[in-house]
Amino acid sequence: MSDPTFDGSESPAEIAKAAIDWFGKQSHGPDFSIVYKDSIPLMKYELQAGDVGFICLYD
Amino acid sequence: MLEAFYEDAVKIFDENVKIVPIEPELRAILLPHIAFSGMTMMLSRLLILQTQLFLENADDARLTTSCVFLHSLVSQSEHKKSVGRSVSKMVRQLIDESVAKLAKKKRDFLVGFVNDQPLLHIPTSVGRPLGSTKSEEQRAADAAQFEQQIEDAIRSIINSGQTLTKTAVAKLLCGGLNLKTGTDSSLSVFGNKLKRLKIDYPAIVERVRVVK
Repeated sequence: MSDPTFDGSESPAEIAKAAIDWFGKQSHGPDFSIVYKDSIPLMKYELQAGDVGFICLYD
Repeated sequence: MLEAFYEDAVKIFDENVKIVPIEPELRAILLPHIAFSGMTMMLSRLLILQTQLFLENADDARLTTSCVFLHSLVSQSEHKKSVGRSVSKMVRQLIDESVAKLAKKKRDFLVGFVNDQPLLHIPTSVGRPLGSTKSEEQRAADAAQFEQQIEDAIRSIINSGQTLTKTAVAKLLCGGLNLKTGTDSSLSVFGNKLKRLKIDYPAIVERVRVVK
């Protein structure tokens, strides 16, 4: 997938959204996904650390 | 979290154009790309670092638990001071090893990443320790090797019909561009190397011409 194009008028929030969208479309493990909550993209993934499982959500 | 990186992108741009200047009008168009690059890097690394965090957490727990247990053993000893000193020394070594392991992991990642950029290179092998000097034997060997390279370069220039100049020899052996000034630095690099290795350049030129 090619990088998005910018014309210099983008706000930091728009660049961050482009980064999350771009990253979400790259190939990742099945435990990774990008979800949207109130139009805000959130990065969600699950980790298994020995006997303990974690679900992490980043905004 | 990601949006804040935009300010870092501004700083990265402004600091680095001092090293390699570019047209000021490119600033607006390049800033989003720099920010985007950093933001995607943060996202990619987050997945890896999050996993490492659990492993490091376990390592730290092992070390601190060992310390607590050792401390309780020392407290039961009849020779608390001497045993405490020995145990402290051992624990300090464990801490140093743990920190070195983390630093190595970070360095390996950063150096590996930089070395993936075709025009940048960070040596990965261990070089001469900082502040140490070359042995006389090594310096003599380096000088002999460089003298041979100079002779070969001089012959190559003469045989190709070019005018033999010190600049032409320097370009063959020490070609390079000064990133700060954009000028060819080969002659000064060559001159510095001759001085450092105590090589008599005119004598080599004379020797090659006589032999020819």
